[in-house]
Amino acid sequence: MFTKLLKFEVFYQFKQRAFPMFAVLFLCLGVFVGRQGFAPTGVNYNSVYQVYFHTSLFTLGSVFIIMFFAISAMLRDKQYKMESLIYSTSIQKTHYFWSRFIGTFIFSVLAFTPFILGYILGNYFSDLDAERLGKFQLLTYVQPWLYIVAPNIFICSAIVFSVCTLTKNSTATYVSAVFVYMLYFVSSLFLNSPLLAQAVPTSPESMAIAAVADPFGIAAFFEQTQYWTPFQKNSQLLSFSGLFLWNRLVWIVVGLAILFGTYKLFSFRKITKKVNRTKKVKSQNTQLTAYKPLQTIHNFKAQYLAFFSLLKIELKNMFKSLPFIAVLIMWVTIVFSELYSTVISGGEYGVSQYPFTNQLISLIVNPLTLFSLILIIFYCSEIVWKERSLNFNLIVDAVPTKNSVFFLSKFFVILSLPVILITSGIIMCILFQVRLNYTNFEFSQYASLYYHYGLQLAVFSMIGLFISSLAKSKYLSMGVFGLFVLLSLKSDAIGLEHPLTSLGFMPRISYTNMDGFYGGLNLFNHLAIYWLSFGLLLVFVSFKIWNRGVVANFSTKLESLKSGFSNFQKVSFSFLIIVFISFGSVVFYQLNIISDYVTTNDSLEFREQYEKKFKQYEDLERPYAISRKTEVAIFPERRRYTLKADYMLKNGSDQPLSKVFVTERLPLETIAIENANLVTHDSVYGIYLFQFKKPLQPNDTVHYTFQLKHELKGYERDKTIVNNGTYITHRDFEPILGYSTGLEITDKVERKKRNLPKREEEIILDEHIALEDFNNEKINFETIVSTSRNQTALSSGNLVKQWSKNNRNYFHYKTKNKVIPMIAYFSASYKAKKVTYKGISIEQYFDEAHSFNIEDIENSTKQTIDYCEENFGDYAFDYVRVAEIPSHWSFGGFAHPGVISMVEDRLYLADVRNEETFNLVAKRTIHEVAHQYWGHTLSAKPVAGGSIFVEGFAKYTEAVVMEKMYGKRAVYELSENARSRYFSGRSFASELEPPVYKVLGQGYISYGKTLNVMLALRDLISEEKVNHVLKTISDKYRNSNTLEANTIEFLDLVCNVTPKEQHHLIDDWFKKVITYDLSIEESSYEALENGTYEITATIKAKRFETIDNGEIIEIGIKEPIKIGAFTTHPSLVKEDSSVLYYESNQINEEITKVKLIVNKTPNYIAIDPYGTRTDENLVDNIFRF
Amino acid sequence: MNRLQINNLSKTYPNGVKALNDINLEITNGMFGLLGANGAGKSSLMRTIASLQEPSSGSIFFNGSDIIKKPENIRKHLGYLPQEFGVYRKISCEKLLNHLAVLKGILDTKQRKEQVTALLQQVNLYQHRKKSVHTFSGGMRQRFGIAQALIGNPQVIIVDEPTAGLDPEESNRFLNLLSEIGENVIVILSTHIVEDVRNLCPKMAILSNGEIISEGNPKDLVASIEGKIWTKMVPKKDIEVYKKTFDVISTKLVAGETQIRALSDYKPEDSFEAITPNLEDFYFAILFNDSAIMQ
Repeated sequence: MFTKLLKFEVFYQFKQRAFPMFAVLFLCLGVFVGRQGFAPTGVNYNSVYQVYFHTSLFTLGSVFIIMFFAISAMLRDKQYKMESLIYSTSIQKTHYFWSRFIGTFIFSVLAFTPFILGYILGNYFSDLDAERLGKFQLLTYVQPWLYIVAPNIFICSAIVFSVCTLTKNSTATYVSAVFVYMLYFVSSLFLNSPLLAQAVPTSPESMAIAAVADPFGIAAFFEQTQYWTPFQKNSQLLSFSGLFLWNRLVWIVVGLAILFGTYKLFSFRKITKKVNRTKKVKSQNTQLTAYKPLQTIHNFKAQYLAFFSLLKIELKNMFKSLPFIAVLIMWVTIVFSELYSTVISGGEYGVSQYPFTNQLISLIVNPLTLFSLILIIFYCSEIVWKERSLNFNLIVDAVPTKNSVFFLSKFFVILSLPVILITSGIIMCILFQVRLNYTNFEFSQYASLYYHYGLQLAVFSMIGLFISSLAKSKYLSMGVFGLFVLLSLKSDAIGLEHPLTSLGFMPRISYTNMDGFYGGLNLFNHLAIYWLSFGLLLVFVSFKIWNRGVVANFSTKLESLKSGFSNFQKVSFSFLIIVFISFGSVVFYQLNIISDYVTTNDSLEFREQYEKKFKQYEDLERPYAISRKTEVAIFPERRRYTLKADYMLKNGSDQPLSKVFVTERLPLETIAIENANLVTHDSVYGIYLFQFKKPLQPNDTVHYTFQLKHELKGYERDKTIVNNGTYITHRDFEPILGYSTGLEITDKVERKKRNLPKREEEIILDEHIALEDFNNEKINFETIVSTSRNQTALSSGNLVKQWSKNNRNYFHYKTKNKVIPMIAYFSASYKAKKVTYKGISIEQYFDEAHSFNIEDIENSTKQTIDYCEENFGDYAFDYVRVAEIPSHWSFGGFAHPGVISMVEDRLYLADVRNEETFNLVAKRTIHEVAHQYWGHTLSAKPVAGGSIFVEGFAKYTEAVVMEKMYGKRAVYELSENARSRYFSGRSFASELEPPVYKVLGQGYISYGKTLNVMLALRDLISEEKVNHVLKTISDKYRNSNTLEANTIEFLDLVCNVTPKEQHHLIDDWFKKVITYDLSIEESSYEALENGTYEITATIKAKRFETIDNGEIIEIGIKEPIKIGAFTTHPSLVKEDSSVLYYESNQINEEITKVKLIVNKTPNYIAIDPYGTRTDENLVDNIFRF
Repeated sequence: MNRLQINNLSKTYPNGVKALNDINLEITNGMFGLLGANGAGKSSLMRTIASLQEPSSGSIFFNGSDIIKKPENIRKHLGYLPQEFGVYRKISCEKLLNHLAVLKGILDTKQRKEQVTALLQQVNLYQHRKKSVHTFSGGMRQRFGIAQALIGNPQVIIVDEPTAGLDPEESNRFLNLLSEIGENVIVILSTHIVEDVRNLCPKMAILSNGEIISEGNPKDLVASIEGKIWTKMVPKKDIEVYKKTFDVISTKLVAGETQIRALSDYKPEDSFEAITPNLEDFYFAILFNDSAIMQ
């Protein structure tokens, strides 16, 4: 019996047209994903990690399949009114239930599995970079199927099928599917999964919860692989253990439990609807009113009343419908958690920002678009087809209400969807602001959301309305419109990247508190009108083809479109067409004629030709500037600046120089080199070739001048020159004195396509670091920078003179000594605060409204100067200027000679009022002030290892000064941050991880691991000795103009002050890639008679070395590591009194037992609590009694 | 006097089915009955008159204005009850009627409320007015449909199978109401119950395969077969034989035995008895003839 039932089930589901459709759809998806070549650098496209990654993400899509099969399995009887027939047969409940469940499950699996087949096809039959395709291994694809696909589909089937069985309601089934998604979203919110943008690193505890809670196992997968290096990602299969195992087990058990529960509850008796208790009807009003015909009126008022009556019904219906409620709840949840995690529970380093309106808005706009589109896609067809699908159309379409009234009421409801989401988002933002006592609501900014984001959604609604009124059925229109939306998001993939052809495209308008709306405003306005008129045209057409009663076929619709234009319709139709065309032309004119419209392909073409034509000049020796004089005139309100430069160039090589090749960054007006003729100038590629009349001898110098005018044309956007907060660095305009490899195409496949030779990868040898000459040195610098009357202009150097002329402010800066040529020009209406401290003028320039942290900045600057002068020698300038720049810059801060740029949201708007929070303001300030030493006083040779001197030492200074100011807890935060940056950075590293002393541009090492090893070094040889080494080396190079310091020299100095038997550790930390696994396995303490306490602890210590091919092998351990006993958690230690014991202990074995005596009751014991060793898991380093 | 004129009306569906084929009718005040088998085109015709469907060709005039070109001219005067219909969920019967009354153009709130109340009482739904129509049983829903068709001052009332699902009492009430209203307006009624047509309608038409095969006053029509209908009780097993031998237009079980009725100008056989024909006999006879012609 059971097999027969199952056979029928299989037969039935096979017959469903949906099955082949789903299978083909997922096959195509698989091929599409498999061949798109999207993998973190260094990870193969067909690596286990990638297959897991994509498969697990796409199993999210399986819920749709399951929903379909479950509905078709369990609701078909009801749908086709077969229930009574089926239930009255002799069929057994067991057979019935399980055959239908298994049918659902098997077919869902069968429909999804083609995804993996497609993925394989996509991997191997495409033009993916062959170097990044590993050998085909069946297990790579089978394992994800076993661990992810089958269980996920089982779990989802169990949930969806049960809901379907118990409620017998397709909407409820739909909602249960949404609920499954919710579980995923919530857990990925916790886990900072790549699907949701959220920059807050999570604690290991919440990560563990999320890893188990996510029904799809995606969180568990990320948890297991988060620190995998590319080598591991390529070679390792997922281990069926730990949280991943737990996740799978828990959810399979949950799935089974749900199924059995449902089986128990399920009954063959038809679900009888709960009888609604009849509302008591007042019986008094029972006298019979006789029916009399009533004259009807059909004037404007009638239409007006009808409109509102329809609108009311539509809105009520929508508010009461489950999908709307579900999406709204999800939206509110996401907005809440985004806001909460940023402004209350803290962002980076757990520090929140002041809830400025633009900050809050920027947090909600991404989910806003997503959720609105989901609603629009669903409800456009739902609303248009509502009466038809309810079969109410024959009644309602026979009333005398005009077409336009019906149409407009529906149109309004669709438009209300984004409005509802935006408004609820705004209300939440305001509630958060009120909660945080922030009262400057900036309503105009909130209102701008309706325009900047709502309008685009409105246009999509119009497109949706159009498609729905054209389509033959509800689901068809939903599908087609969904496809359109997807295509519009990916319009560059189908060659429609131009804003005029990318359906509904409007640029994002960002807003910074300092500068206001920034970028693309004109383009937005014009495109807004363009797309709005397009949308309205579609609405017009939809209205014309709107038909009542029975659905008309296409030709009838076309007929009604052509006929019956009233004069008003003719006029408005033509008007819309004119607006559409004219704004299209305006956009086209501005984009393609005023400026050069550059497609991706154009730019690749440019880069290819540049390389082919000018690669020959790559080996030309380059002269470099040794002094620079500039005149910069900034016109912020006109978004323009002009620049005159007068440099001295020097031939730093030992060969005479006969040619100079120049690649311009911005178009130049003039360029001239003394004693040289311009032999070639190509304005297309912006290159110049100069030939010296007499070759320039080594160490000889010549004048070099150029002039340029940079003005934004058309819709161009450039964040360097803005209304308030201009920030121009030399890299933005200075011509490159040579061939620029930066312009070459880097993508391997693209290079092959264009017949470009392979780019060579550099191999860094020690000799390379020590010997290579680098062409650059410190310079004399002088500038006259002018700006408009209400603004202050800043640059490096002492202010020589300041005057006003012609309504403009002029500032003349000149450096006393030579400086590193990293010059920037600032202009904004700044408020200034200046104090003189130990002969150094501390000057702050900031936006008037951003004065929250000024005291903190000043104080930490003083502390840094104190510490540095005491330990590393004199501060190199007699001023330090800290200037605010708008938050459209995405870095934390940047140190120019004597001048520091700090970004508004990262520094000025960080809320550090609470003493308990980590003082991010101090951290950033110390870091940048420290750069005045590390970078500007001690300048490293810009070769491998150089960034230790710059970032490494700055991070080290940050840690020691912070420790002085705030206690050990600050070190905990810093090293924890460095540690996680290191591990997540290396897991996405594009090349084999270099050891610290060869770091070359790897941020995860220079900002990450370097701090850990510097702190380890401090523990090993003492802070005093480390500082001594740093002082020695900076004294040596303080007055040298050339950039020479290198890591080999540094390590030699370190070894000089380190006992010989520990040199191997210096080697391990700086010259090898070694990771640790340290933990307290077990510990206990007992009170001794003399009032002290004896702690015994079992310590586990392992070391791993990453060898040359990326493989990780375990090696032995033999080194002193700090062990500490505390009264509070190490991350909360402020005073030394909470530290009972903190000493180095020699660890020579994997398992070591230690005994310590402390004076007070210990609450915590920890090994290496302050992160001097690179250890993936810090949680198990700390043991709580 | 209202006048509905239907000229050469045809409707062919995209799949080739001819739902209506050259229909010509003139309907004036009073009840007009439409008879026909399932799929004969009754609903198509009614939908077309109600401006819910466009004909492929032909025209319909209501009081002189072309309602295919200007459907609003019929919608303003229309009460329509489709054969099957659904309603919005989660909205009470009273509110839904009120909403429809607004759409039909009753602007005065008080008047609207009065008429809605009257209609609810008329169709016996007053005590259920707070319930959602969605939860109504078939008969109750049908009564709601009747109520909504009567909202306002309809000059043309089109009711498609209005008594389906109603109990005899309700059915009577409704038909009485209809005939009362029908004195001054056009009522087009389609039904399976042939007797209803005879009792109520001064005029009627029979549709078959999209064509009108007969039209006129029921009494006149019945009179046309006076003396041509013969009946006999026969054993069940012999029915097929009789069907082959005579023009049997209908068979019916009467107290457990089968009564056949045959159409013949003279007495077909001795055992047959003459019977006074009713409208049903006419209906079967005309269908019988029609299908004979078709064959």
